[in-house]
Amino acid sequence: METIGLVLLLLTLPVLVFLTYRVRAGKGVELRPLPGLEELPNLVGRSAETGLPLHVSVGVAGIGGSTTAETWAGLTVLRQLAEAAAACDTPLLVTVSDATVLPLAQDILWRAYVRNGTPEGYDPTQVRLIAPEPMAYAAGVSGLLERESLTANVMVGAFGDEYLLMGETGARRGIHQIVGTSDPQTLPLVYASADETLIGEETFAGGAYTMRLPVQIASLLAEDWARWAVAAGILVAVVIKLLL
Amino acid sequence: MAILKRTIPAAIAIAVGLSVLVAVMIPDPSLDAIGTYLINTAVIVAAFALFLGVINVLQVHARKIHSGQPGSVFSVVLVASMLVVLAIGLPSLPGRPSGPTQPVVQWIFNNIQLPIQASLSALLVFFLVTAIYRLLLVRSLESVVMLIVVLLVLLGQSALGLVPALPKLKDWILEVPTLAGVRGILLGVALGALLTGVRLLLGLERPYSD
Repeated sequence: METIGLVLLLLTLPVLVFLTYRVRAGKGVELRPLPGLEELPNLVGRSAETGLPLHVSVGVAGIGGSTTAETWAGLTVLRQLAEAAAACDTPLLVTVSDATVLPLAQDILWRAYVRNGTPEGYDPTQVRLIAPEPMAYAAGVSGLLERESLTANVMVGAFGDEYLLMGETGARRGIHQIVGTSDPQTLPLVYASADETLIGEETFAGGAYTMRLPVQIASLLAEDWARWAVAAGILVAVVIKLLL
Repeated sequence: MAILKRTIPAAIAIAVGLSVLVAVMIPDPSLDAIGTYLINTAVIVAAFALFLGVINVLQVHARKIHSGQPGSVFSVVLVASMLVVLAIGLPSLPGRPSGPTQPVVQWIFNNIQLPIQASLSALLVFFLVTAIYRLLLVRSLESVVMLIVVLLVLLGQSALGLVPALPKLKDWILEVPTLAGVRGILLGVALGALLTGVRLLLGLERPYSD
């Protein structure tokens, strides 16, 4: 398994570097529309108009486990929302489940306010640690969705069955919800309760769509190249199996 | 200042990331020792993050209680419970373990926290029913397809056996289109996670510095 990982990594590295230079040289690409990600800036605008905060969750996992990439995807979306919220002076309400994510989320918010030239607007309690257990976290967030007046609920990260507790509370209260996760067992629950769903790999595309950094767009392209390679490999393996 | 703010954090992050990766990929005792040391250091840093978390919980709820926000009574209960468990669990009693294995803390966990979590898990069934009801109201092609598939799988699992073809149909749905879809999603997730890791490892994405 380690060998496969190493081979994939070594194959991906040059492709990513090559594609980053290509994108930087102006050979950009058209990204297919993802309504969930395109809706994010509008949510901040709506929040600025109503004066009501926007709830952001980065999942029930932390940094360091097998679901770090999903948490990272959530933090990338948070970064984009924090930049927009700092510019519009809109409150964000961020909840985390793991203590390792807390300083990262606070740092993202603080940097957004500093970059905007309004460091006094930053409040560390905008980021709240709810509970380390997924079910306890879900209970805490559903209580928050029930009690607080919110513009929208954005949840991108690792979620399990406990998502339903939060998603259904948000849906029942009529809060606009954008949810992205990669667990195939949770996705039907998300589809049933969220207004916009980010399915699987779409959660990792947040940075490329919102910040449009060359490396993130190149990363999406590299992912597509790898996908074609895997699909071709599967087809070749099937044909060989049929012939032999 | 740019070196302090950008270069040094990025260099540390890249060096540590690559060292742990090499230790995982290449079986060698000295590399293993370096990797283990770095992972243990990360665990200690994560423990400090937990301390920050406790301060955050106290800050948030103390503010709620002080300003008398709606639901502040729950904050009182939360802070009191946290302080009681800490007061019971932290001091080491002679001949008794301290921390999570302390008998009183274990009793609180087994008789209060676990039953509450189990009750919340049981509630999920009712939330699932309301979610399905909401799907009925949406009336899009995707939701209709999803509902039909859910009903077929549910009926296929029924023990009554009124329609013998249903269990076979259920097996086909689960083993062919569902499994193919899940594998497609998992492959995409694996590639997305791999490339996110590569971006972080190479310092191409650096949320820890400006």
